[in-house]
Amino acid sequence: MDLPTRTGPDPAPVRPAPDPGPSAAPAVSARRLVKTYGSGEAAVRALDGVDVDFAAGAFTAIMGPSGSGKSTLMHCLAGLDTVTSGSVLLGGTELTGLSDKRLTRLRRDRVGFVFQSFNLLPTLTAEQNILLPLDIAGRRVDRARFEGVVATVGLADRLSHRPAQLSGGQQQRVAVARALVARPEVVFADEPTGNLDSRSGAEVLGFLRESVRTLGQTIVMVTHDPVAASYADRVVFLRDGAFVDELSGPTAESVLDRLKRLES
Amino acid sequence: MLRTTLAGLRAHRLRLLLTGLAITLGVAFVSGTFVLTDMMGASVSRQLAGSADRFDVIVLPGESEEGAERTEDPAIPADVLAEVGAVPGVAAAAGEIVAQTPLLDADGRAIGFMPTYGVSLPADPELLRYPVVEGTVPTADDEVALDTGTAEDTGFAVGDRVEVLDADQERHGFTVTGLIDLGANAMAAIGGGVGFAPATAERMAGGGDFAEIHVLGAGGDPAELRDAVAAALGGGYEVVTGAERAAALVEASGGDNQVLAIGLLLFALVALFVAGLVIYNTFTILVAQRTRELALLRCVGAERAQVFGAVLLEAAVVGLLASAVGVAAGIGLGAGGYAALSAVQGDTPIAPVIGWHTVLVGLVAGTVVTVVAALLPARRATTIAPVAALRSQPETDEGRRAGAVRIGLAALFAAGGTALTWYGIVLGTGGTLEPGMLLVAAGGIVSFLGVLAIGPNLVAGLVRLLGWAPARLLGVPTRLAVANTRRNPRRAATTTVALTVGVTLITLFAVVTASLRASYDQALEDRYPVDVLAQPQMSAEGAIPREVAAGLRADPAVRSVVEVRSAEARLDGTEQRVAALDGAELADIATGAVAGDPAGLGPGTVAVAEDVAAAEGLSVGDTVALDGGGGTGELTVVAVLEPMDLPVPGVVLAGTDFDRYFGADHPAERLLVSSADREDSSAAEAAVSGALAELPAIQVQTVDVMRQEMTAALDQLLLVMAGLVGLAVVIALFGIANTLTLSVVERTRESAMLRALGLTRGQLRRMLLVEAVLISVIGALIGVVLGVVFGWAAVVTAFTSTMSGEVLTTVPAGQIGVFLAVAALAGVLASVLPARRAARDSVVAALAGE
Repeated sequence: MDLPTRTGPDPAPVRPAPDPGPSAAPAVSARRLVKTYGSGEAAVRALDGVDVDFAAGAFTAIMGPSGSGKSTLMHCLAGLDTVTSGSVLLGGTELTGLSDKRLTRLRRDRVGFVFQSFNLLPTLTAEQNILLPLDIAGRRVDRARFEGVVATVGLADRLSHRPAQLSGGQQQRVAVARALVARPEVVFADEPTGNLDSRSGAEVLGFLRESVRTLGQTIVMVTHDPVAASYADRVVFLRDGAFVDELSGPTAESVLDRLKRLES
Repeated sequence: MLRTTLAGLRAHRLRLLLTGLAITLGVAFVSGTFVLTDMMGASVSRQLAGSADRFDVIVLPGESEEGAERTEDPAIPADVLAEVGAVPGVAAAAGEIVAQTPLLDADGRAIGFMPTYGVSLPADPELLRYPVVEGTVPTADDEVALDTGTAEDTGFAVGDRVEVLDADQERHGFTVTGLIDLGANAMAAIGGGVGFAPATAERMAGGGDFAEIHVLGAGGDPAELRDAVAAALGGGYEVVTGAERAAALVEASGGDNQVLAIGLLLFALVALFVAGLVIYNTFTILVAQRTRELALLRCVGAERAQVFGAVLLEAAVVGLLASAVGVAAGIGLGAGGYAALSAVQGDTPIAPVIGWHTVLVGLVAGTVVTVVAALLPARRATTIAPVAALRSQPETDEGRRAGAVRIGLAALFAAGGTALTWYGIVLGTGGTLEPGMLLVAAGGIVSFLGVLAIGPNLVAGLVRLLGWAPARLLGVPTRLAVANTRRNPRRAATTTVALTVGVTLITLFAVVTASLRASYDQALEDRYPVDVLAQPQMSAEGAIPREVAAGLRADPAVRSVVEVRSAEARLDGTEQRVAALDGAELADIATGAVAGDPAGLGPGTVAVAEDVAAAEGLSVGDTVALDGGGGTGELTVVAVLEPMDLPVPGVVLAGTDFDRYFGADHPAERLLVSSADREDSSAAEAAVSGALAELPAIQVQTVDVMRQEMTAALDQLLLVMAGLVGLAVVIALFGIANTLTLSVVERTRESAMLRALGLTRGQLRRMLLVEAVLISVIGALIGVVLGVVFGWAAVVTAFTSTMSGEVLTTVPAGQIGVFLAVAALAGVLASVLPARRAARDSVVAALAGE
């Protein structure tokens, strides 16, 4: 399964990944999660009773056809959106019913994000962008961590650049560094390679997986690209707003195969 | 293309509203000015015309130049009335007597800055030219009517007892029978007036001469009657029909109104200019935000010219709609303003006057300003490449350095502005006032253009400077705000400069008024101490017998009394008012001497003021021939005096010489009294009032009260100016809110990302608040600097040669602090709506939204 896309820099010295063990509590879990948009006749059930767990210290991909609700699921799990019913537990905290203020704090202190585009503030340098969540939280910067993350994503010589002076791949690496530097409990990535060429995409995915292996980071990634999903430890499949299948130790072929079966 | 533009406008009503509001306000100011001044003009015209065209023929004194009522002495002998009455075809005729008859207040002292005028009121209502507002026309010998304005000022009402002085300063008691609007009488309109029955008026005036004679015909043609009257009287009188007189009066009254209209329109122009800046900025942002839309149009085949046209068309539509609303609002404002004014002044209300120029000038000015302001943005829209439709990078122009052109232009404007101002100051201090002031004003405008040119660099620098500390001390939202303000220096600069215009003007006025006040106070400190002034009313003659001063000098409440005695004399053959100052040395009273020494004034010598010396070609050591009432003689000039703070004529003799020429008992025209108690002059004032009890025409004023009145007048002036400039400031605030709103729209996804990363709604709002405050404070700061500099230039230019004593340029730090605080507060207000909008957006929707 040596894919041509996996050409990222060689992983740093491999440490054994911390074993979450079967008994460890999941980092994020959803129970009977329902999300409807609109009301009455026009109501759309984007999520229709999703039950799913995401293991701590693991890299999980969420896949599904367009309209399957994968982005909505991520938004609900990350505290970006409210749910209609059911529950979301993030590291033992029940998100449903939290006020906007508490959800904001939770995102600030415990969650990291990588979006498809418009990740960075054009007015700030790469370094300021990376440190933005810590700044907002008013937390002290762990310089060792910062330098480690920056070295890992290969941005040491780009820190004083503005986003406009960086390539798309470099911008996404800044976003990954930003998501990792604050040691969040979970990093949510929404199509992080959707706007990148395959080489840059492979680099970004490589970093994400590396952070799981070496730092024990928990990552939940939404993607529609089987190759991207193949970097994950496990793939969760949605269809019509419901959990339908999962796959451990995925390869691009096995993911594609499963998707075809779902769509048929 | 037209359809696309109109559809776009319909789809973005909010955008239309935001853009149009600035222009609406500016246009409302313009049309409001027209309506207000037209109505004031119409009201005055109606009053004046009504006072004349009710008569068939009016007889005026002969060699009148400005209109008969302005000549002080009635010039139609009383017996002319009988001649007029005997002309065939004359049904009735009445002469109008006009004379100075000062009305006294409850304390028995003449009221007002100027004496009131007495006017005869015929009993026949057909011959009465003034409207009776309340009560009846006086008929008995002890009855009087008051002008409505005079009654308002004094508080006297129908039924009250009042005292009026006759031409010989004798008091007479009257009962008020009615209130009459004497506004049509030029003399009574200025100083106030009282009306008497004809016989009473003759007695009070000390003679029966008429200012004019009003004639009613028996029904024939007024022109024929006019000719008949003129023929009967022979030459020497001006005989006109009532209609001719009415037209002449209306024409003559236009001037004041025009001055007011021009003054208001100047401020309206400033408001329109600021509105233009706001429009320019809004369109620039809109074009930037619609890059993809416009590029798409180009993709599907629109030519550059069509894109250009589309943006201009949008501007024209917005401009026209906004101007139409502005004209309507202006008509409401003008009519409302007139109603408020006439209610305060007790005038009869009239229907709104809407001239064609009100509508046309408003519409054209608003539309033209909008289209012109949109020219540059429209040109920029044509440079958008079709391929931009396919990109989606929000643009920033940070990092763009100011072009050499920009810097060169700014340097040129700065140099030109400085040169003009400097030359204006040189002219002004040299005594050439008007060209000097115009040059300083031109210098101010040119310098402001320089600031406009260098604005982006200036604002970026100031943001860096002012934002540095807060960005480090006040946390992330502030830091983001500072970065946002710097992101687009051109946009920030235009937004800022719009506010600068208003703040510059207000600061300038504040500096001028504060400097006037300080210079005036300083002059009072420096000069010969006078606490109480006793003098006649303006345009009246006063005579204070010498015993009064002698008695006051013995009063313990009084420290010293200077008598100013003056008389007409011929100095080297020309008429001059010569004076003596008894009770003080000239050297103590004079502000200073241009040449010679005032201390040398003694018998046989004379000191002359600078202007008299210049006019007569006199210098120290010259001898002049003086021809006074009591004799002639030769005098030697010992000093040429600087202009004095105190009201003293320009030729000063020694007291003994004055006695020789005009008599030792020649009365004083005014007394300058200093109080024994330097802190409280009320005892001295009481002493002076008591000593003048038998001279009710002499007014007694304390310098403290005069100073308070001056301060109050200056404060009021500043307040009026602030009110007039205020609209430009309000428009600039709309500009700030506008820019912020559009920036919020532009940054929707960015804000959503920040919210996802954990920025709270409150922090997001605070970020926009700091942006707005930063922009306003920087705009105000630039305005304060410009205002102080040009306020100083205006003060030095206008007052160095006209004010006696030193001109102190004063920067009113307190007032300027208030301006800055108001600007900051205004920034807070301007951020409210955009911030609410930004905070309301759902994070998920904003992230997903394109």
